[in-house]
Amino acid sequence: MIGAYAVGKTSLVDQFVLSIYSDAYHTTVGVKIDKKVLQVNDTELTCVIWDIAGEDEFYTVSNSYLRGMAGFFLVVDSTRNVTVKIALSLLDRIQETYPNIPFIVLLNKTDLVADRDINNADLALLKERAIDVIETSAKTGIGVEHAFQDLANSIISSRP
Amino acid sequence: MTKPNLESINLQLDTANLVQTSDGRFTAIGALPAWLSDFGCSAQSEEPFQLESHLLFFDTYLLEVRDRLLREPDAVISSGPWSETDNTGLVRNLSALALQVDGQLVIQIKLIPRKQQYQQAIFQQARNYSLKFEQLVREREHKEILLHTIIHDLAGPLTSIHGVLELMERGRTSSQLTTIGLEQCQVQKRMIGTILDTFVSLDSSNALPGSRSEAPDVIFSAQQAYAKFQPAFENKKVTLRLSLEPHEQLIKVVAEEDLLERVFANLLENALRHSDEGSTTELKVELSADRVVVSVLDEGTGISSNVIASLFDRYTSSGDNAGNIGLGLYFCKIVLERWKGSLKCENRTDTKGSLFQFELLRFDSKSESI
Repeated sequence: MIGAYAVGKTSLVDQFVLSIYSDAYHTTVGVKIDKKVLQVNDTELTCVIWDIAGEDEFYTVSNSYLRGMAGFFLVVDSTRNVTVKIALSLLDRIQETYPNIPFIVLLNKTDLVADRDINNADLALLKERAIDVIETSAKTGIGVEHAFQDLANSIISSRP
Repeated sequence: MTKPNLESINLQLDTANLVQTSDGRFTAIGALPAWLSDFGCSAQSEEPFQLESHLLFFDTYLLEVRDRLLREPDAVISSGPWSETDNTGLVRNLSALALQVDGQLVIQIKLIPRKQQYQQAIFQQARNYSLKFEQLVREREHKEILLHTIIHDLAGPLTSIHGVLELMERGRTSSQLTTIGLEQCQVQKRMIGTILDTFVSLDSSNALPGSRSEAPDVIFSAQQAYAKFQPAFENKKVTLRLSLEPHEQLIKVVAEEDLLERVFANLLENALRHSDEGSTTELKVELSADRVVVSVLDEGTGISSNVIASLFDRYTSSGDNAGNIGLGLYFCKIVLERWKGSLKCENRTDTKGSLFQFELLRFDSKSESI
């Protein structure tokens, strides 16, 4: 899980792994690791999820955390357009080292309909580089399971 | 006095010290702290074990360490903080150091005690402030735009009223023109009312009903709107029909009563404006599981395909500008969205005309998300 701070990466993982949600914001320091077994096309796949702390002026994502990843989610907050720009800059950096890793953009917090603040032109720049853009809400759970299933499928099909 | 041995020091510090064996596994130097056994590493065992199968972080960290030590054999490589859930379901905050001693890889793993999680607290505080700042900037921008738009929107009707009053003051109007002028003033006054209502709704932060008794009854609102508009429809020789499908007498919805009344009024006014003599407009209320669906179906000209996508944007009108400044549907959309409802429009497929449909949450099914 990669993206700006406070876009809901940890909440998405908590919703996916534990089916829980909390409104309180607890920033992640470093990386948080979770695991969940996912059923993909009759195959059990163990997902080790690295929830990497959001990047800002106080913290820069270490490239070493990205090592060995099979795929990633680039998470954007649908109520803060600035997070799309951060996602684009993170993507540039990631793809310098890992150009062919499948990834999906998660447009999170879509339950906050009235607060939506996304520039479609900026989002389109992400869209054209990602496998898919999935609207999610860690709060309601919408799109979360589907996103993990989709990424797992993409990872499996991208393997020779 | 005997010196304390390294094992006692490590136990006291609650750290795990491990050394890599030739097959890539690890063995403990001295006893392992109790918390490590919660990750499946036996505290007493001297058997080598696969560290990365117990602590998933090491799967990547060991690769990084190996590469770095090849380049800088004397480096002490810090992992930085990470969190991992142990076998009891507890999230542990950890950090590690890696170094080469006598050609062997040594790893020290430390539990970060809660009271020492300063870094977390500082990040938390900084990011909370940063989020607050972002929010304040957005609010300020929003208010500036709102203020600018209100000034801009009011300028038109006020200039128009001013013009009429000026003509009257100069005595250049006949009694017939005075009547027309006064009527125009009334039209402009209504427009000002609409503009102000819209912006008040736009800026109203929270006026949702807190209890069932405060929530409006959608059946009553529909009946009121029907009664209010019936004469106007009749006047234009358009039939207005009311269909109430739910059998219940009282259906409370998540909305504000006066604004809901205006949503009904805007949609019926819109239908009337675009309906031809002899046609029928239907106001229909239906129930779904947790929502109420209200439809206004007219047999008018329908909506032009180049307008339909932007019909709910501000200042978009369906082409006929008679008394229409393009704020009505925008107003409907913003208030419905604030109530976690929705509004859509489409051209009818069964006959000519358009369908405007809005959904409201039933108050009884008001979810925690509101």
